[in-house]
Amino acid sequence: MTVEQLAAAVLDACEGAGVEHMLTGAFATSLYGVPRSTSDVDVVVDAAAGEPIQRVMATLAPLVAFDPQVQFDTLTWGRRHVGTTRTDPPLLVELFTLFDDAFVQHQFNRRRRLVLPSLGRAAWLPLPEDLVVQKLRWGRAKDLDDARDVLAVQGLERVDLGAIRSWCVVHGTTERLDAVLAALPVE
Amino acid sequence: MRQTQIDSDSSAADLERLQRELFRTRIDRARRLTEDQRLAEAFALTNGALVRMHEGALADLDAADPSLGWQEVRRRLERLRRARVREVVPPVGPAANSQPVAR
Repeated sequence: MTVEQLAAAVLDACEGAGVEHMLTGAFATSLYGVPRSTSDVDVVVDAAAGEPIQRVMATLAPLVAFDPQVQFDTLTWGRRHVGTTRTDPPLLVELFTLFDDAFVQHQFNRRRRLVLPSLGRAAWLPLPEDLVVQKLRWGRAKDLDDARDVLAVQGLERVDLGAIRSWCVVHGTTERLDAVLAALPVE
Repeated sequence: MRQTQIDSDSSAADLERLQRELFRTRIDRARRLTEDQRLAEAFALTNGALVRMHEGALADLDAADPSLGWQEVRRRLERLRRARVREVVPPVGPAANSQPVAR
């Protein structure tokens, strides 16, 4: 199974279960920034617990073995259901449940639907500005590189830098934003 | 000694210039692609990286059985994930600095 087949299967399962969702992680970053590899298919799902998320995991069960234990993520402050493909190559599926956080809700509510031939379907994705805010908030070295690459590829003239900075003030990440902006190539 | 210092400074400046040029090249190339082309490239990179990892695992194990190679790739990926989870970052998560919203 290729990673795009797995990603399509996860998104199909969400739609089949009637669960609002959004593709995130490295694939969202690659779409707006510089393509890079990953071993995870990350999807945010609007299903805190109970039947809807169980339906998604049940649909995926022939392909993915989910850990019965829900994990609390200390980086994103959310809960996630983690599964690994049953067949090789080994790929990870992470279903991040939407939770009551102003930015997380804002990002999800503003998501956009794109037709993606490489995925063989349409998919919901965050806006590039929101992806940058999220990456700056998480703050790992890789996240900061992703934020820089998205801003560089999108171009400062095309992104709403004011909106990004406003959230950075709320999150206390303006220093990270300024460091990323300083690292951008001169136009 | 003085000459060595100048050479060293010069090398560092050259290296920095080279890094900037490489970054600029990567960005220019990514800008020439559509969103879907960039996504397709990420898929290709991911699939290719897994194949390379598998080849590397088989070589390290000196094994020919593909399943042994994939078993080793699984083990290595799991170790990588654990290491990433443990990376220390300042706590700026929602509980620290964001307003909850009613749903």
